[in-house]
Amino acid sequence: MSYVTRTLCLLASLMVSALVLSPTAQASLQIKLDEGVVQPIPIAITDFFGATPRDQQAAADVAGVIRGNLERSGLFMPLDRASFIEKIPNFSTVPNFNSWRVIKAEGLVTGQAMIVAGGLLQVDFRLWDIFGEKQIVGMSFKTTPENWRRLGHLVSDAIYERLTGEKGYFDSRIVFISESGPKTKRRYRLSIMDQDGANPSFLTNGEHIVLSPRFSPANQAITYMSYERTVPSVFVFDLQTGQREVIGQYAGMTFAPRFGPDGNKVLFSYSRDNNVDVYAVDLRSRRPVRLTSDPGIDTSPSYSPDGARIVFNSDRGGSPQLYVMNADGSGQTRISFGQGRYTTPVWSPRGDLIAFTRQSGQSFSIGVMRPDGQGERILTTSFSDEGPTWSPNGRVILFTRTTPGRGSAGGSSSIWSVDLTGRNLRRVITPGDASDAAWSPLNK
Amino acid sequence: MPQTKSSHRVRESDPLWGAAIVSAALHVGALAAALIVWPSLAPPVIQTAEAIPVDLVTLADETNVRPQEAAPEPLSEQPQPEIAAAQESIPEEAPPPPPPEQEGFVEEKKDEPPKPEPKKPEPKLAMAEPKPEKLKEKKETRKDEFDLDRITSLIDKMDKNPPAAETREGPKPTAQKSVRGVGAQSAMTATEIDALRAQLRKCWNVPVGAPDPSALVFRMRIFLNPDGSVAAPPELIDQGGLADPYFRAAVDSARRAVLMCSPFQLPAEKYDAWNDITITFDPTRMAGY
Repeated sequence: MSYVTRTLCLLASLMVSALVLSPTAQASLQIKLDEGVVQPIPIAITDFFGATPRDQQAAADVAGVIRGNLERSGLFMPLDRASFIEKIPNFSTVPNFNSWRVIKAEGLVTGQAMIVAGGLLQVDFRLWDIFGEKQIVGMSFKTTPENWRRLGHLVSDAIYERLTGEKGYFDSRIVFISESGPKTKRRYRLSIMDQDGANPSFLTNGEHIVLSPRFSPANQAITYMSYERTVPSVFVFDLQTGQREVIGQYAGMTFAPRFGPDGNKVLFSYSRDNNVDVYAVDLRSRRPVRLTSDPGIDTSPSYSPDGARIVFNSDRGGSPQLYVMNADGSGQTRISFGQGRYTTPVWSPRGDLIAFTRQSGQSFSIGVMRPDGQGERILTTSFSDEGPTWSPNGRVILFTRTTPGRGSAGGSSSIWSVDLTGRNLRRVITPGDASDAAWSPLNK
Repeated sequence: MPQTKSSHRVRESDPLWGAAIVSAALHVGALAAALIVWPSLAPPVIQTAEAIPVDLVTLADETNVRPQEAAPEPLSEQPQPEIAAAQESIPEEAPPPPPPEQEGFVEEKKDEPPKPEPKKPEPKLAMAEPKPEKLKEKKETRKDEFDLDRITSLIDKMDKNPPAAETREGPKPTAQKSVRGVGAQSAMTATEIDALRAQLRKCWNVPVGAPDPSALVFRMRIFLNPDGSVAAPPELIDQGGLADPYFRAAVDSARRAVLMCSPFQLPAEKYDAWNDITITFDPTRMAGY
């Protein structure tokens, strides 16, 4: 290389160096991260402390409920207690965070249970952030000792809420239709249980067919359709008083009821003169208002959580599709345009999505779409998946799955749950066959 | 240099002398210009000892001043948490118990027991402990910096590193302050940044399912020690959304990702380029579930 070339190279390299050494090179290194993993958060739930054998039993039971809830949500992975290194001596001790990091816990729950004044059972708990090395939640609840499961649900909700940003849903119940007996002489009983399957009980005796129970988002009340009158009719069942009443005397069949967000209104379908339309009734005045008047079948209405709009399905276009209208019936707009028949729309309590049943070919699916019809996603598909209902936080969907084999040959119905992301599909344990679940709001 | 030889052959066999003359004239012109512009760089003055960095990677290895050794400072063990029973604050006042038949619940906030302050290493704190074989390994990695296998093995190696603080590898030999040689390539290459991103990817449990994922994009700034460990709690730059529980949960997920990934596997000799990193966490692409 000639010295001239070298000179030129040197000049060039000096310029490059100047660029490299400029102040911008000393700034913070910028990195964009738009990908990661999606997996349950590993969480360590220790055995809660109890001073007396009775307290210890309650402590163990409550911790068990919490583990079960968090595991079933699919968003958490309670770690095996055998893997715990540190044995925390009491509720007041700050954990040794290192020993929890080693077993890959990201959260740690400690707690204690005790009987306090008035014979109430009190549960205290702390949620520790293992990497932040601090307590991020600390709360105390108490109730009557028989009600201990609810303490577990309340603690679960607090943990879930802090770590996911989402309201919890564990302290809630599910109403459903319990099915028993041979297919030719099936008994349908209105039933209720905790969201984790505990405390099941029947609300009706199975004398009459009951269908489509729906929980009030505001009260402990259920609306459903029953064949106990000459004409199938919509009833409202007050769970606190046990009182049942029909929502009005109509000449034709009323069905597909659903409460409004404040619990004072019920939407339903009314079949009159060979035409089915959507009506709303105020439970205080009992005066029905007709919202649709199309010659097609308009049914399965569901309010948006703010009560301003209603989604329903109609076959006015030739096949059942989803439509959205204002609460007064104006501005009816079709939102579903995919392949197949769209039915049973339910507006999420969060407001962002509408869940529905879609029949396409020989299979039925549960899906969600945004209220403008965009972003349709199918979450599950089988021989028969239908009738979605939302958890009170709008995160989980329950639906009915029926296996092939109608008539006396069998074909059983069961309730399943799936996360709105399409993950964590699992069967909900019910006493016997079950269908048509509806989730309650959070208990009060 | 084979390339030079072949170009000579071409010139010898080239019948177009005109081109050669033009070339020679240009050379002479360039020489004259250089002599006028920078007479001090006339042939005798050129210091051939100052190598011209043609291969910047190799040069950086050779010309970077040997790292100064700082006094070794042992990683301080986490102080054992004290038993805080004495300071445990009892819920101040229990509201009257509700009538049992109403299934009443009393909810109280528990105060956090005092927590021992873990001693955090200062950012850029030098922790030198010479490990010649480690250094050699690093150098080899740098020479083949576009070797995908090496990057993969780097990532694999990361997997085997337990995230716990006390199991960290000993500090790597580095300087308190690195001094660059002429033309030292101290910036991170795209491949090295990708390798860092790959480490973070494995640690970040993306929050999915929130109603508006686009509201969950934020920047977090982290400072690293020369051994790649996180030197201070990650700093959230965009604090606007903290009132939103979804945002707070997303920030927590990012913070956990950074701390779980620590120590990061990074080219030790480029410490100046990565001791301060701003990461934009963006869950929108993953929010399609």
